[in-house]
Amino acid sequence: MLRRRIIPCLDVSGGRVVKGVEFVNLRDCGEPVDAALRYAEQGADELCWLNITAGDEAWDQLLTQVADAGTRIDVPLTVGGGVSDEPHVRDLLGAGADKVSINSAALDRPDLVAECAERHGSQCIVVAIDARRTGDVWEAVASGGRRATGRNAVDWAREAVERGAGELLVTSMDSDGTQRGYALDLYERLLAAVDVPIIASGGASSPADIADVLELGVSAALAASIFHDGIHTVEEVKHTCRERNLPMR
Amino acid sequence: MRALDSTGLAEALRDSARRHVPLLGVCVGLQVLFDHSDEDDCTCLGLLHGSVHRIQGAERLPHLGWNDVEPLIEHLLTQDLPAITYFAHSYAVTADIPSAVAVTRIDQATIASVVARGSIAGAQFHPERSSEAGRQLLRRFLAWDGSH
Repeated sequence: MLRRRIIPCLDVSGGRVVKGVEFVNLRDCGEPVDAALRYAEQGADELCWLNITAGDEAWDQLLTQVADAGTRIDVPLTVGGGVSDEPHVRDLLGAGADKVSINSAALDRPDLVAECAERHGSQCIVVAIDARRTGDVWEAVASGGRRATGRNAVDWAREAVERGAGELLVTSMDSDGTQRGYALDLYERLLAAVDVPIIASGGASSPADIADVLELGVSAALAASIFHDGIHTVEEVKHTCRERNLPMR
Repeated sequence: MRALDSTGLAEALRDSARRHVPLLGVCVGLQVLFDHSDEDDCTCLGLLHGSVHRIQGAERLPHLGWNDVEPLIEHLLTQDLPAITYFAHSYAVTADIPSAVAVTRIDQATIASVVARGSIAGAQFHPERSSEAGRQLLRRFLAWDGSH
């Protein structure tokens, strides 16, 4: 039986793991490859590496670090952040990423998703969607939440999948970093709208929050704060999920 | 397949197969060992008989994540099974092909997750991303002389 995945997320800035609330007030949380190895040992099913520094120099540093991580960790690695064209995807896959996530660039130019999926296969193209609640609808926002798009997040999810996205990594910006639990209504709508795996992200404060969102039917739950702060280990989260009869590795 | 043909690797692989050099294809590397793939209607290496199809009966595709690999027949490569390994694909060969030596269930579908015939073998999962279970398969492959 296919297992549900627990994915610790490393937000990496200037070559260091950082964590902030709603993408501001960043704190230093250590060296990314060390963190990746530590989480893999704890039983992480996959790791997500999110580059949050713009610029060519940061990009070169990212490729070097991903290549190092790729040879030293033995679980899959998804890398994203600042991916704006197909050569970026090719570079990251070549460096050792198993999947690449594309966010704002896909909203700006949806054809990019198809270009990447046709060249590399849907199984390694993740479209990341940052969603913010506006009344009863969820809006897709760009550039780390700084830019409104007017696009309904569920409609955008459907289009991204039609264009070849093999997985969706969806973050509730209202919950991200706040540790108030996942935005369950958002994931219910997405699960009904698309038939690719969905990774839920944003808001986990406890193993129970993660079990709650996995019970809805999402394939994976991504979390950062609760792992970085040493509040809970990956194994503790998986233990809670197993107690609730979720299929875990 | 286009890349394998244009670089001469397709011919090199066929040549080493004729000399019974042990060969392990991983993921799409397993798929290209077969006669044909429905993905882009592609003629493949033909080192193993059968066709690659889009997985039928899975609730969500791609098949992404960790899943059980269960031995179907005894083989040197499958002695450490069952195991849980990492998959990332939407196409596969079905479990009823003659070269299947281990299988994996995805909802209503059953796929061949390890194949072997003669000195040709393949893993549909990623041993390099499957922690200890993956290392075990790779160790078995390195120790394998290409026989049953």
